[in-house]
Amino acid sequence: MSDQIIKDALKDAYRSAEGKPPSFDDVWAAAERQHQASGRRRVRTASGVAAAVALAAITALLWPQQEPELTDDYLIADALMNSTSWVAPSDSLLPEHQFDIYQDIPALGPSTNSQEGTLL
Amino acid sequence: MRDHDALANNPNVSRQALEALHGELFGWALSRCGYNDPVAEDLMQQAYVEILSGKARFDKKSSLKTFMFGVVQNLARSRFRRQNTRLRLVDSFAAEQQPSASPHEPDNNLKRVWEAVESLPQRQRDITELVFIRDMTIEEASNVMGVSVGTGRVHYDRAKKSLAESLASLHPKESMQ
Repeated sequence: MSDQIIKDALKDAYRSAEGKPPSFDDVWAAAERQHQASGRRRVRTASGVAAAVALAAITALLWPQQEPELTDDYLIADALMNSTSWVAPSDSLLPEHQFDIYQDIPALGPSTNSQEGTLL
Repeated sequence: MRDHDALANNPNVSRQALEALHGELFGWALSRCGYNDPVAEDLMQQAYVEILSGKARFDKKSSLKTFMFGVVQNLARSRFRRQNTRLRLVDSFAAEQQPSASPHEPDNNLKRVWEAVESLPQRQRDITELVFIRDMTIEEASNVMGVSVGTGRVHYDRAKKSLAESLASLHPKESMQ
């Protein structure tokens, strides 16, 4: 079967299925309206975004500046606790009991002060 | 080219040139959407909006016809990709309700030709339409379909062979030759 026969058969079938196309002017006019509407929408969106940015900038400028909160950043308890350690000294380093106990009775000098006939 | 009616955002395209392609382009749009007239018209409108806005910019790398067919093809693809699952469900339901979805009246030669076309895989059907109906070369048709020329040629050969077999009964004399 030649290409031309296939082509003719297909052309008839497609022509019958397609019918008459809509008017170019109508479709084109609708496309132009849609294009213009989307252009206006883009302008509105851009204006809205610009206004929001300007408002945010003005608000930021006029917002009362607060004093920065003072913090004891020179002493961080957690860091300090983690950076030092303490261990109990071994018993050998402790002073012995005998060291604190007097070994001799101290010699007391004679008292010369008296009260009601008794030496103090 | 800078025609007097060249478009602002697409200086290589004129309204007049688009008008000359309008009928064929509408046929292509129809076949993209299952021969639904309003959907095809909407597809055409979207294609013209793309051209008017310059989103689809023609830079003379191909013919305007190939370019516009490609625009419609891409729009249809992106439009129906999301709806594919839903459409498949609707189609399967419709197939149960109506045994034939052919746009032709039953029991005539056109219907048989149409059934032969519809029995082809989508890409074979597309290249058949572009080459036989829209008078494109295989290279141009492959460009519209977004496939390599080699792939387009394979689809074309298979489609032609399949159609020749299907249509042989309608033209017994030619099929004997």
